[in-house]
Amino acid sequence: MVIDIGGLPIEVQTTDPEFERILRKRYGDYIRSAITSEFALRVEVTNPDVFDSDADAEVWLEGCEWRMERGDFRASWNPVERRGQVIQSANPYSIDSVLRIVHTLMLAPEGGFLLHASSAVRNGKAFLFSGVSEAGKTTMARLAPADVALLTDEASYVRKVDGRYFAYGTPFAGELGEPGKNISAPIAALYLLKKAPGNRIEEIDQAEATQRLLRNILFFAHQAEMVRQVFDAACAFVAAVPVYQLAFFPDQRVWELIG
Amino acid sequence: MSTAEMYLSQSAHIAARTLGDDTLIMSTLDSTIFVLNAVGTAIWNAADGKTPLSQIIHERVCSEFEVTGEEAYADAKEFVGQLAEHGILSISNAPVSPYANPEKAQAQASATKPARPSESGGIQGAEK
Repeated sequence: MVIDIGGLPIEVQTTDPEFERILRKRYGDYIRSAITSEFALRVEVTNPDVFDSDADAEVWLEGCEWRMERGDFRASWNPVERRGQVIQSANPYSIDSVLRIVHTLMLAPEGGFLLHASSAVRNGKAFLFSGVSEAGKTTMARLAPADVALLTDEASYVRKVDGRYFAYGTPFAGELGEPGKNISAPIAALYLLKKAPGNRIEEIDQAEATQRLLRNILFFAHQAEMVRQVFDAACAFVAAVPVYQLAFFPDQRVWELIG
Repeated sequence: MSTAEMYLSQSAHIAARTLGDDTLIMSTLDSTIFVLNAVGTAIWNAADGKTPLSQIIHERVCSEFEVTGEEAYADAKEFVGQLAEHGILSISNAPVSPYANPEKAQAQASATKPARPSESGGIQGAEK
């Protein structure tokens, strides 16, 4: 089956019917049956006992292939062949983590990234709300009025297409526990969240905006060239997209400032 | 002012961008992020390995900013010491040849070394 996230569809190949059922339930609207993909991940479902459940995740480059390991999976990704393999048990969490990592690896060379942010579309424009844990990402998603389409409450998908930045819906959910809508829109603004007694939008300078953006970009492979690509992507994004601090009180009135 | 001269060289293990008056620098080794203000940016831009720090202070700092030589030199020594601790720049007591940069070879050699990811996501590190 093909899981289409961010317009970069990946064919996930499995012969395990139980795992396929799990994928269909987990990725719902992100599964495409009528398209082919240049990217493929072959998943070998195995006994969970073979893993060291206490091991932390690691991502590194071995030759021209990325390797990634965590307590619950082992995986590889060849960016040239656009193929990878995953060994995991039949659960949705491992493949979810592998997909996040692989997408960050695919996005970095083209100037895109995954961001710790909720995001939403209003009046055809996408707005991102970024911050560390407890900053209010899910709160902003919960407070969204009816005319707002949520893209995610956890991991926003940012791509640079023909010189413009777009946000895409993702199935990567946070506390809300629901996948975002599988749609995209040009990004109108990034708001860096800060809880406050009232609601106001504050200007911040480029250096601070870039620094805070970098702190919230999801990136797992700390290899020098990749780090430079992410750094360049963050600088280019801030140069092109308005970035503000959104000081907000957590009630619906904050959305009066958005859109 | 110290009698021993200090020569500063920018590390090969960094990504840097000047944004307005400030310069954002990130280590590609540990993803530490530094934001240099206008004075720090002036020193950073002059860190060519062959200009002594005292000359940088005299020509790039005291002439541009309202600080005395001794005050600026003391602050600068502390500042470059912090950057050197994080591998952002290197300090030597003699000029460094522009043709000899062992860090670059080392950077290339270590480019494929496994590195621990930030599981919580984010290019993280101590911000200055």
